[in-house]
Amino acid sequence: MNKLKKTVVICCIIMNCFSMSACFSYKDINKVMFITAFIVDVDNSGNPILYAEAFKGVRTSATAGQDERVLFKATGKTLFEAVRNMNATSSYKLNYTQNKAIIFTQKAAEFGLDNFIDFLDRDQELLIRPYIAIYQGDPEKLMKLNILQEKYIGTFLVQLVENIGASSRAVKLSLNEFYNQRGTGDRTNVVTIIDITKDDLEPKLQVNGGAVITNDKMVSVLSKNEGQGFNFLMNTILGGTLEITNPCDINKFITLEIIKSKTKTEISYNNNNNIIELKKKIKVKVDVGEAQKSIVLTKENIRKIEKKSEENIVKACNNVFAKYKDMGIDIFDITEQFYAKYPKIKIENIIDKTELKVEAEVEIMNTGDVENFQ
Amino acid sequence: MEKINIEYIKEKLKNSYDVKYREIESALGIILGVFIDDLCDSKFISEYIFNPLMQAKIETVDLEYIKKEVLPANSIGDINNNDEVISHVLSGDLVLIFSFASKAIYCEAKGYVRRSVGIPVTENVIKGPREGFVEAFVDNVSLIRRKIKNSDLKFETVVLGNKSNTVTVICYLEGVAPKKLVDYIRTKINNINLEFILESNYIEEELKNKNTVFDTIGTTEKVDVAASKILEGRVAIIVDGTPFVITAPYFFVDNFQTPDDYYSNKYFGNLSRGIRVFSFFLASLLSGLYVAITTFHFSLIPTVFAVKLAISRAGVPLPTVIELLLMTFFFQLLREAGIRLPQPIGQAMSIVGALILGDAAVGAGLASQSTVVVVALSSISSFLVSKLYGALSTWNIIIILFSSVLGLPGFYISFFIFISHMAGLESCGYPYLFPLGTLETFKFKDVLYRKDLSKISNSVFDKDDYNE
Repeated sequence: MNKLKKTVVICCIIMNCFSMSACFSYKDINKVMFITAFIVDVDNSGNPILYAEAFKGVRTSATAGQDERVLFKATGKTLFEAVRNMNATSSYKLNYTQNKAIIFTQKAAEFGLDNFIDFLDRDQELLIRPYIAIYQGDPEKLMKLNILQEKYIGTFLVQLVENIGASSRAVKLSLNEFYNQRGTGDRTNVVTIIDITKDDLEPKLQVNGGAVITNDKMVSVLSKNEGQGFNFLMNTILGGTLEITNPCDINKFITLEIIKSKTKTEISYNNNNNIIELKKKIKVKVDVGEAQKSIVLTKENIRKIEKKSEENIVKACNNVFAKYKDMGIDIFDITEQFYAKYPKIKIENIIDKTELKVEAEVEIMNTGDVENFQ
Repeated sequence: MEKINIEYIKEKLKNSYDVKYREIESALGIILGVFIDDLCDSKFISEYIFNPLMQAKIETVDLEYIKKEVLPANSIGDINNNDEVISHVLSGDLVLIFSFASKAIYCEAKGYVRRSVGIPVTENVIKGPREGFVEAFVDNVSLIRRKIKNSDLKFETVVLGNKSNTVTVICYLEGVAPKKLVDYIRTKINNINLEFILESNYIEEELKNKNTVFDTIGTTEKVDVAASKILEGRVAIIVDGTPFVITAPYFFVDNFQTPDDYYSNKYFGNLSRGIRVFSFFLASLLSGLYVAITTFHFSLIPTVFAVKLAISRAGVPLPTVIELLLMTFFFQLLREAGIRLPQPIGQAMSIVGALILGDAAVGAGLASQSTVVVVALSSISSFLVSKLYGALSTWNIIIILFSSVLGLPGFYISFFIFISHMAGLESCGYPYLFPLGTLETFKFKDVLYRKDLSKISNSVFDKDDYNE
């Protein structure tokens, strides 16, 4: 290649580089305000009200400097208009790349998430990483909540959800999973519900069950107690506890710590009687965490504990399934599983024709020894 | 044959206080000794040349008799013309001109001040030989000879520089160094047409790639390094007047190899080499990546770090890219000042510099702590591969500029250009990235991982190369 050709090629590459500018551009990190969480509410006319918290670096006399939490509120006919209106009250451009949580109020969720979701999905700055949650209460109270454990609600919510393994009753869902669920099967989601504790020593944010969203509208609440059965059925148990009566004293309890849980799903369709059989095989490995009063861990007692906890699991699963079967809402993704196996069979309202069979197998791995004594 | 013309020689060497003429009477006529006082050993001349000449009764015009019977000096030869006389005198020989003979005789009587063999300051080692080359080429030749006692070790001399007449020695191991390589270097050196040569870089520039900041020709001050390169089949070029010996070809992977890799524990040596490779990427890419991520792609920064960065940069009036370039410039200022200043002042400089870079710039709001950390890390890393310092400093700035315009796509484009540029370089006809990217002759033995010495102690070239 001669020199002229080389120069032309290099010039073309450089010019091409400059024409490659997309919807991002140079912006210094101290010239933006990062939103860490925002709450979407609606007024009585159905217009979105947007609340947001952001952080901003501030230079102080101390070398280290510090960050400040800044709160915003804006309204508009659409969510995007509300976002732009919010920018009008901010000294720097609001940036959503560090957003950790998208919270909808119960009112907004009942009004319909489809009024807001498109903006969240379409805008490139809004990532699919944040967690989605429904808040049952006054959004202003939530924004002004002073959480000592963490300055920012968004970051705290992430920590809270990441720590969900400690409870087998909580539900977690990221925006990405939410998008997937609302577009497949019977378009039903179970979204984390958060609220502020009332009877705690100081007000805190807590995960409190799940909101059932069908066709982008909140239709029901999955209570904390139902959460465990739901999680067992959905194979989303990461940890938590099982409480059963003490075989040595029926008035006392034993707490089993879930170490590992695995749920296998088998789905089959009986053409003759038009029934879908849903079989869930749940294998749970537990440790004995606590025994009230005392327990003698004989083989017989261990078997009793295992049997009792198996019964509890089956009962919890059947209860939650029965409730939603009655309501005709498929929160268990049966529709997706059915069509994955039988893509050519078309059945209306699948959960109505589904019969659940739960087989639970609990195995106590470790009974633990009391070692600390003097 | 023309007769040696004393008047011509005196005319050529006039106005030089150190050129001495010593006449000795003999039965047949005058014998004139010409030499340069500063370059010759006066005691040797008096004792072994002039004294025997005065004692001897010279009654024959046959100079062979004088060479064989009279002069005990060890290196003697004939001179047939005036220019040769001048050349020998300027090289530190004594020339004897006979009024009764047409030829002259030179006797080697060099005796100038030489620096003794010392420890090279630019290539420190923890373990291994410490002797380094000196300015006198004869000493350098003897140092290599002592390392490689092999009859195939060849030293070819070429006199370069129209005005300086600098002796240059091409050194290689016959049968190991590819013939085409030796021919290439010999031709290149013979074609050099310079007025003077003061340092090996005058020759280096003729051999290496022109449009690059990468050094495609190596230099070393250490005798063992030069010897190892010669034994691998490369060519060394010794230039009179400099302790820096050229080794060619010089490959990219050579920048990561140090003598310690071969003289110390294999595993630790490999760890150190791994760190050097990592530091190369850190020095070249870190600043660009920092600019791209902190000015375009906030979503890639973990939130906790984003908070810290925002706090750190709060109140800094300059854009990140200017801040980064400014701090890099400050660092270059300090480095340049540190090198040029005498050592005692240099230490004071370092303290002031560290304060400017580390604290005062942050305190004054000129820079953020995170930028200082990035510049410091990048600069320290570049010292680990000191031979690539110039290339890293330059490409670092290019990558920063690309990243500041286009973010990560700019970073990738500049990195691609960086690698392509290296891949396009050649060192004496061999690809600079050899053996990387040359699949057919890929030898992984001593590239990133140093294997057992018994497995890597052979030529870096292919057998086919020897006789091409």
